Amino acid sequence: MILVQHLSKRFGRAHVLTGLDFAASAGERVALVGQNGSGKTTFMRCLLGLYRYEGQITVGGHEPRTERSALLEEVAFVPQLPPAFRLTVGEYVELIEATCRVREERIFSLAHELGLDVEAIWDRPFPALSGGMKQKLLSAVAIARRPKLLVMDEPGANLDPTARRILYTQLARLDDDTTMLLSSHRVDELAGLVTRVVELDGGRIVLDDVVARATELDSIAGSTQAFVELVDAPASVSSTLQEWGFVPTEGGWRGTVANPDRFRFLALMTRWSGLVRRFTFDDPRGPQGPGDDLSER
Amino acid sequence: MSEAIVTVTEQQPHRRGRLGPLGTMAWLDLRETLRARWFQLYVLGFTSLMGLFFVFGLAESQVMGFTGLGRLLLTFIQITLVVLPIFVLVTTARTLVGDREAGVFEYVLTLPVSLAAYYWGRLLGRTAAIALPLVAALGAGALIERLRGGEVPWAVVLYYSGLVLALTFCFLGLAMLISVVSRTQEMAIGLAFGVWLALEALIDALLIGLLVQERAPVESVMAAALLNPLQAFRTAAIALFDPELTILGSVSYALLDILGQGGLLAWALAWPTVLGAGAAAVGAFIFVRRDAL
Repeated sequence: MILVQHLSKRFGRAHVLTGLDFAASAGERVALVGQNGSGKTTFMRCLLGLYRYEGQITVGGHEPRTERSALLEEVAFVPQLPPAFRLTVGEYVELIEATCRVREERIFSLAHELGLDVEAIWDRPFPALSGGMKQKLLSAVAIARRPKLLVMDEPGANLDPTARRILYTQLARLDDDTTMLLSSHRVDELAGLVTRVVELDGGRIVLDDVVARATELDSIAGSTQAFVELVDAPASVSSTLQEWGFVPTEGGWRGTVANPDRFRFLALMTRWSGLVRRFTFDDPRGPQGPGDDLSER
Repeated sequence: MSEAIVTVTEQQPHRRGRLGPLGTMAWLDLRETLRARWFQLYVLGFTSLMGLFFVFGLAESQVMGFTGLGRLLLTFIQITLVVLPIFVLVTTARTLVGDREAGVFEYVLTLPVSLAAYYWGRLLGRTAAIALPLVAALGAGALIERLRGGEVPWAVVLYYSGLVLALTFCFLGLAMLISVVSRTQEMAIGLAFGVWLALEALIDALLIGLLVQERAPVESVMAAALLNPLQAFRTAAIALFDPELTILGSVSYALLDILGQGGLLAWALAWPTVLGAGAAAVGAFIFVRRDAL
């Protein structure tokens, strides 16, 4: 479904994607993870034909820049931040009906599941909706289109836990041959839904992990206490640790890593091997168990 | 909230909107514009203007040889010449760059609509929204005069409607190009104002100044006058009634002498349209080829 070869993208002198290779077959559900600025959004925008790029991309056999309309017939996208267009909800739904092969009844039904009554807000300006309402509507539209490729940037970002759970259920109900590319900062958000985890860092794929069973990540849900002692802590490293929720303590940094994210965290430690003096994962088998000093094994 | 999963009926193939992607984008832009506060003020301003002309008896006045509805229309068109270009430039130059800044492109341009359909649809919708109220005001003026028993110069009404459409399209094309090349709304407004100022400056008085002070070649001054859509519009509007030197100004008078009345009237319709279409086409060329965001 997706074939990416030697993809590079730069803005001025800033190289955001560097020689990236990626392939996903029909039905694969990929979690695209990485820190802020890792290139996730740029990668998705290249796939959607919003950016020029170097290298080759085909999505469903179509080249994103030269065959945009044909490609976008088969692709649905939900951005992280809802657009601020000056339409009413009704006009937005009419726009979708006019440009995509979808019936409004299906949008209503899916939105209703998420707790949004579209008909009741038909005449309201789209910008007047709350962030959660916009996200529900955009998600309902994307799923209603039954795309061959569904691209969602932080799908659960603006949703309450209940709506998030229902959204993931709706995603799981999509046809088996629907390919998904779901961007998130944290894998645990998508545990149970994805079959593969791809991590970007510095515009490159640094981790590509196939999950054998859809429930594999879910079955190890939970979290693990971790401790990192650094030789030196440059600002970028401190910033990344803070994004992981770590706080500086005496002698190092302490935080909690969601179990599905542990491999990603280990990969991060590997890349920082020159900076890390010691790090430990507490033994998840028991609260009193001694920490596993992974750096000494 | 119930977590029960509602069974969704099997999706039926949906009939495409009758308007097609281009028409859909034009219709959406038109609806968006009709709702905008600036547009409501614009319509109110021009319809009030026409109403005031009748209330204050402009149609009955006789000044410098212009009488009846002809004088009223000429006054209306002169005000249009002052207001319309800057109004169109400032309101439209912000559209595409504003959409980009507001994240609209990131979503709308991932719908199965070609970039060309999006661009030209926006231009089409905006052209209708800007030009129709002006043409309607001209038509309403003529109708009121007819109901009052006055004589209506229908050919003039028709020609002025064409002029208004040509001028609208000209500045919309320029504004769309500005919107495409600008990285921010502030930059777009600055460029729009600069274009307007340059065109306003290059009308009769300044051109004569160039001719006298700088000893510029007459041919280049005439060419500059011909290529300035505002100059062409102004000259054609007056030339319909009284093509005298004292009214037209020397450069316009010379243009009239070179092209003849028929040629000048045709030029004033054709050149702004071509210029607007050309600018819009360059904008479209850039728009579809560069990064959308």
